[in-house]
Amino acid sequence: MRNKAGSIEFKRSRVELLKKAALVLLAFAPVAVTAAQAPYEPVTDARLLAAQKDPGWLMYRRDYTSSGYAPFDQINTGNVAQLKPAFDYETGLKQGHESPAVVNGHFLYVTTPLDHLIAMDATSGKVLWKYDHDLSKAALKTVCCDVVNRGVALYQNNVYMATLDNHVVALDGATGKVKWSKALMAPDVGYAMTLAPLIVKGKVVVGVSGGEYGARGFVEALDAKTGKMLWQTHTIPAPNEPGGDTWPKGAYKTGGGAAWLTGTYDAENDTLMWGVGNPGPWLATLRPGENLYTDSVIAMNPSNGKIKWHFQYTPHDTWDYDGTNETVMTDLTYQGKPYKAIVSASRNGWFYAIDRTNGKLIYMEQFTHATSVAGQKDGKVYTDDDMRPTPDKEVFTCPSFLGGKNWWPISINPNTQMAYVPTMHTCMKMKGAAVSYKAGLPFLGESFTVMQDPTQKNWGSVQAIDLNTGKQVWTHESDLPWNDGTLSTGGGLMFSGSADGYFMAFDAKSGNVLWKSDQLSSGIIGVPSTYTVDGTQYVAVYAGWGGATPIWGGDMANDPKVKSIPTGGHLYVFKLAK
Amino acid sequence: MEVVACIDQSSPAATMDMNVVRAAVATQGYSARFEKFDGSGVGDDPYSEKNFHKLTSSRCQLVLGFPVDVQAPLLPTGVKGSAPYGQTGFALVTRDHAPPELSQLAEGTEVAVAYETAPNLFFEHHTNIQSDVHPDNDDALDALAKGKVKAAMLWAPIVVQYTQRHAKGHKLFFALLNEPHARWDLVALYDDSGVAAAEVFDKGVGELRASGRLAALLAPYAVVGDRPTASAVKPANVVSRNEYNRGGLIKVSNTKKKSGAKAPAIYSAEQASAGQQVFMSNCSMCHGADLGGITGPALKGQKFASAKDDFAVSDIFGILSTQMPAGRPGTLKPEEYAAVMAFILQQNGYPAGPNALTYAQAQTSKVPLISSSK
Ligand code: HEC
Repeated sequence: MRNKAGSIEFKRSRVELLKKAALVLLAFAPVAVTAAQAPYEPVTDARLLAAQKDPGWLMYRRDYTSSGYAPFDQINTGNVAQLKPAFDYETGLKQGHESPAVVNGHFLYVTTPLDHLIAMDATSGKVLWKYDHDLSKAALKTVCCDVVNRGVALYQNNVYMATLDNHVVALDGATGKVKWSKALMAPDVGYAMTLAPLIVKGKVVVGVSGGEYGARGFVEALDAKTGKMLWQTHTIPAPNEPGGDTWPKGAYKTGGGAAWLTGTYDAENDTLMWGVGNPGPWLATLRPGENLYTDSVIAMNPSNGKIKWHFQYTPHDTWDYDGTNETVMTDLTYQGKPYKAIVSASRNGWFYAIDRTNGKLIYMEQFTHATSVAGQKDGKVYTDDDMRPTPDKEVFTCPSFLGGKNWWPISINPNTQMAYVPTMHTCMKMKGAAVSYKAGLPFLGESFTVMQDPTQKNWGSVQAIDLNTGKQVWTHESDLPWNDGTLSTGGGLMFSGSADGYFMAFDAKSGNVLWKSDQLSSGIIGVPSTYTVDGTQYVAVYAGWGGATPIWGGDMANDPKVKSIPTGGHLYVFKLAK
Repeated sequence: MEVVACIDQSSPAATMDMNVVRAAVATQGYSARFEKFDGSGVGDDPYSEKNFHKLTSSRCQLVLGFPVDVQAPLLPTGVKGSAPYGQTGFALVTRDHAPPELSQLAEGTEVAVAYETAPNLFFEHHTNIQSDVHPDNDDALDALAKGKVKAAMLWAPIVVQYTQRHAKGHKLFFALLNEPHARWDLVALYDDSGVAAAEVFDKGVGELRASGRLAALLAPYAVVGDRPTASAVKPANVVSRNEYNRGGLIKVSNTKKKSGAKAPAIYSAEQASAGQQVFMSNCSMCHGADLGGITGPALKGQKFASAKDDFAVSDIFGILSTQMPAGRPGTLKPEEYAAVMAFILQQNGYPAGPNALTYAQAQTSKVPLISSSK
């Protein structure tokens, strides 16, 4: 459907740019693993199932529940003030740096924008090997929101990454040797991948980005050993499938529903939960119906990808409120009743608790000013029709399409029973409009402007929400947007980084700032992680401003305070001063 | 005396547009000359309406082929519209017999429509019909021609073109719809430099209408319409997500390298500092305040423009004036584009001179662009 006719000459300058970047990176020659280092310990299914207790940090959000919580308490509320840099590593790249440091024993892995992967010693930062994915230039055409990558997955002796040109690559964890590389789709057909893969029972599970380009999203599982495709589940049902009648006929082919963030695995119920993005085209009046499973979480059987249940956060979306934000498994008590739940802070500005055994809503509460989604009736979400733009009506609604929270993952702390939520305070003007032509034929889209939330004086905050009520416990305000995920620890701490480059430790209970790093080289959007090697606890985070905020942020991006945030990627690792 | 009109050669109604211009200006004693351009867009991406003011400011006095919604008459940014010279729009199309009223179609009739077009809106008020969305027009017309659907709602000029190309197949019939956002006025776009030409055109169209010739010139693509009033069309000034430049096709011509040529002074120092301001507010978030590149590539140094890249100033200017800023291409004023070009030249080691670089010079300049900075 898409035909590719890019100009060779133009691409050339881009090729050279990439080559140049590759040369810089190659300067780090492989260094032999020192004898002192333990051999590579395979990451078995048993270790993944017990990842919460592992001394390392074995996957994107630490464990299958996506908790972002580590039990370590060597660094705690009493001594965190003594936190000092242990080592740092500069990537030489200026785009958004979002990957967490994923750690197995002495081996630490981070990815960079444009799909480079670096293995280093987790105690010294010494580079062990590097992999530079030969990124097909064509892929960059369809990357809407910065050329980012969100890190690796580990399994047995391998490390896995998904790339912007739709490859999944398996490399030997100890040496960096490529074991296999599999293309899911041609680049340049409307898809890309930016997420960290998830390993479930011998499968590498990934989802695609591409909600803005008339694609049809899917989640796919590959054999971790060979890369062979085992199943693929489309997030938009065909007309003859359940949910197919929530679309006009034929619209499923271009219905969007990208699945661009890592899912959660409920081992007890053997259920894989994955968030689904916005429907296409943007203007909802063009596609009457609920438009399943866009803006939903779908629960699948990990053996075959079959959908067990779903919950839709935003029905018939017209505001680009992807439902991709992570779901975190937690047990909670609501109005006296215990639940096995998942919680998610949605793009639409509402905080949801859903029964993970059946997909039924437990509660939903606003965590920021939210006017498009209005509430729930009998467990079904409804929207405010007055907030729907049409070709004849402009609306002003909150939050903006960038969301009350975007991809920046929340964490929870089982001791405080709180979720820690990075929050953005923007609204938008939006209107349906005949905005473009092709051979004289007018097409309908939406025009929009991101603006300050009139009820707030700041662009952002990071807040704690009581899991048992959905209500705010404390908030830390920020005049800049707060675009960093959060990390919770058994030391009573919550870590997260500010857009002006301060990595901070908060008292998880009160929200008091107990420690603040020196100003790092750039704004922080990297997912923070923590690990223990040889009895020492480390905390790692990338500085490296970028992502969607500076590109799509409208008034926010043009605020001189936001504009002046320096760029440049830098991994910082901290430990207690001796 | 001559009127120059840009004609979108990819529009199915290009011949009609040329016939109308020729006949209209002839009534006023003018001849017509046509500049062809390709408004088909890139791959799946539509043609950016923001390009229109570039056409009117450089190539022609009038631009034809881009109708405006009768209900929401927003014009592309930076241009004005003539009085409507006809009306076209979305039509109900049927096979082998003339189309009935929408409401007369049998309960449950599937009607083919194309992705992201206005007819997708019509089902809301016509519950007797069901939508069958197709990725593009040809796909929808094929479904109708093969009898997979009984009806389609598509852009009338495209239906005409299809029936001409597939003369031997089933006969298709169509009638313009009277639904919200179905009717589109044909207007000629122009800017300040085209005011006189637009006046000639408007007068001419008035005479054609009065003498009854207009309908024949428009058929079968469009009708005269019932609103021969002066244009009440407002300019649009919105950024559209739809139009986000997906880094698509950028054409760079094959200019010969003029080796050894000394860097000429083609811009002024004041202009470069004005350009710096434009750059900092519109480009630096992607290309870096130091032009070192972030999401967008570097705009300075060897990796941007080395001798073997073989770029001329006009090549780079073509990219930045039609594709940048990515996300809202064409939204800057012509003089801002020229200034930002001056700034890029300055940053790449070109000397300033007494005269500012004009938009037109930048568009045609064959001065080789070879960076002398690191
Ligand atoms: C939203 C991000 C963004 C903004 C804002 C932006 N650009 Fe770009 N620019 C890009 C990208 C991405 C490319 C490469 C396109 C591709 O890969 O197809 C590019 C390419 C270019 C090129 C071609 C470079 C080459 O090496 O051939 C020029 C020149 C340019 N931009 C100038 C500008 C100017 C001047 C502005 C401000 C008026 C601007 N850009 C604003 C993202 C942006």
